[in-house]
Amino acid sequence: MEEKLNLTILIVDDSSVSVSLLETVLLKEGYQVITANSGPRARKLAVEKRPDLIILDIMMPEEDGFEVITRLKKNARTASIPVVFLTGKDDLEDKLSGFNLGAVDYITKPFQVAEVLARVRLHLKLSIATNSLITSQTNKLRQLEKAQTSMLTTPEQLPKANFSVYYSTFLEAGGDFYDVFQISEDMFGYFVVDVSGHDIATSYITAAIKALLKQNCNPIYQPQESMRMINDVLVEILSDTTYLTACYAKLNRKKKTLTIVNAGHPPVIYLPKKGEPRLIDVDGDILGMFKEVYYGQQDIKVSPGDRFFLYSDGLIEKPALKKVWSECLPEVLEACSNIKDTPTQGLALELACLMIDKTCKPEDDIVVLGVEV
Amino acid sequence: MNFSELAENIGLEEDEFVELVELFVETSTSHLERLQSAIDKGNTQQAVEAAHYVKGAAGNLGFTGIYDLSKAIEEKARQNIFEGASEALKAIRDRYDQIVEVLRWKKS
Amino acid sequence: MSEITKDGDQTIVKPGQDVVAAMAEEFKNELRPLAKEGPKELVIDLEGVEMVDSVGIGVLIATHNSVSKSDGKFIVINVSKNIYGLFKTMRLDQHFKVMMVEG
Repeated sequence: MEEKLNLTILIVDDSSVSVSLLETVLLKEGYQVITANSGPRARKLAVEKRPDLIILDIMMPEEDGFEVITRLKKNARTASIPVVFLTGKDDLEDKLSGFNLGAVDYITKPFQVAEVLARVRLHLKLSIATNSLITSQTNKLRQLEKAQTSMLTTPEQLPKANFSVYYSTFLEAGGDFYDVFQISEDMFGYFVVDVSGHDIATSYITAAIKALLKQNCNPIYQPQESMRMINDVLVEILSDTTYLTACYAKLNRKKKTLTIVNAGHPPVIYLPKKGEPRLIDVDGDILGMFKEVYYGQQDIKVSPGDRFFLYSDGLIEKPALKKVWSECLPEVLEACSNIKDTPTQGLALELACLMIDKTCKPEDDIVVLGVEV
Repeated sequence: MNFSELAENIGLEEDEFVELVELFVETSTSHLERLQSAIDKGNTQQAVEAAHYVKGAAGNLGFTGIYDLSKAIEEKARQNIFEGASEALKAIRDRYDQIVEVLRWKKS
Repeated sequence: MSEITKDGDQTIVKPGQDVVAAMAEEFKNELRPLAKEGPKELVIDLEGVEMVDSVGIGVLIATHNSVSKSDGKFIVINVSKNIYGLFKTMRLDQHFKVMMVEG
């Protein structure tokens, strides 16, 4: 996992309940967490572990938050770590002092979890941008000379992702592809991409996208933001008639949520353990064509035993019958309800078999990803 | 006191929330005792610290009753006023006992 | 290949066949100079078109992008119901005007 972006947050608060709560919440989001309940301990950890962000309580006995910030800023090893402090509601003076001492933001107590997460994301993004991680992305892509090698993740390589795949290409080089990757301990990303056309040149695009995914799909970016950033790069590097459709599903097994973003791609099929399959309709622009784009996002609650499918239009489209894929959805839904008893390893193959007409020669790449929560 | 509702408010599963409540109960015991002795002795510094601690923990978990009561004690203590503190502490203890009761029931 | 009519500032192109990979290269070569002329409106009439594929769509969008650069409008008319559904799913109607066939 060469490029996985591991983000560590240090929580400092003398109240163990506060620390525990923040720790639980942040771990669920995919961050690494370290904690301290006093100033001295916090400073020691900050130097040792170089966290990417520090959440610091102001009111602590002995060494208070202000003293901690002051000392952190004096130490070259910790001076550039962004600090967000926790303060009581009406402490205006506290806020001003904190800012003057170099904090980047404050969160009032008692805090709203959603607010904490939003601020954490924001300041991590700002901090990373300052360290020019993003500007180096396009440089790295320009250095990519090797065409796509078979770097498609197999279920055996990432068993915790719990998926099965069916992949068949129309041409040697292949245009469609998929990627399955681990974002954090309990978070996995599933991505299916359909490249318009069957150019040989598309294999360069594949390698580029794999790199983009690794850079942009991590805990601090919402999937819809990741998609937007990928689009920003693709608009610059794709030819004027080439575009991609893609579907990205992020599964958080700890929070039991599935977040889906869709870029003009056939919708994800969700097959609950008990119940009928349904389409998850999310709006989104295609990738690589437009500078101003919109990506919707949907979060659905899932339970162990549920399944979901990502696939390319090659699975369902019937050009011989002049049917575009948007007309072929009822059929694939029905096929899904017939594979409820299939074990995980066989899901993708089973669905592909049900949908592919063996009497016709396939005219397109086919990708099917079947995942069990 | 609906634990599952409180859990949902902070985006946690109920069992995770229960763990935090247990931690709250554990750590608050000593602070409530310190608060009691602070009120008895008229020690404002101690009262402020203890009340502040309980207030913070309760606030995070959504126990608004205890939060408000501790806040009141803390603010008055900062101004050297202990009037009503004993009553407020008793009300906190009542709620605290309720929480302990719910925990016991959940674990059985 | 396509039927091309010019009416003042408006250029209308009617491919009269499925807009798919097989004809895409030729179609693109027809459209490129027309877009470069900087028409106020470039209209693609899809009457009789039953099928579009990703390559065909790529050519259409590239043409739209080109026309927009010179502040022109790109419109697709007489789109069959099913192709209209596809365009809507891909949010293309949010970038240029798409008009379904009447009736």
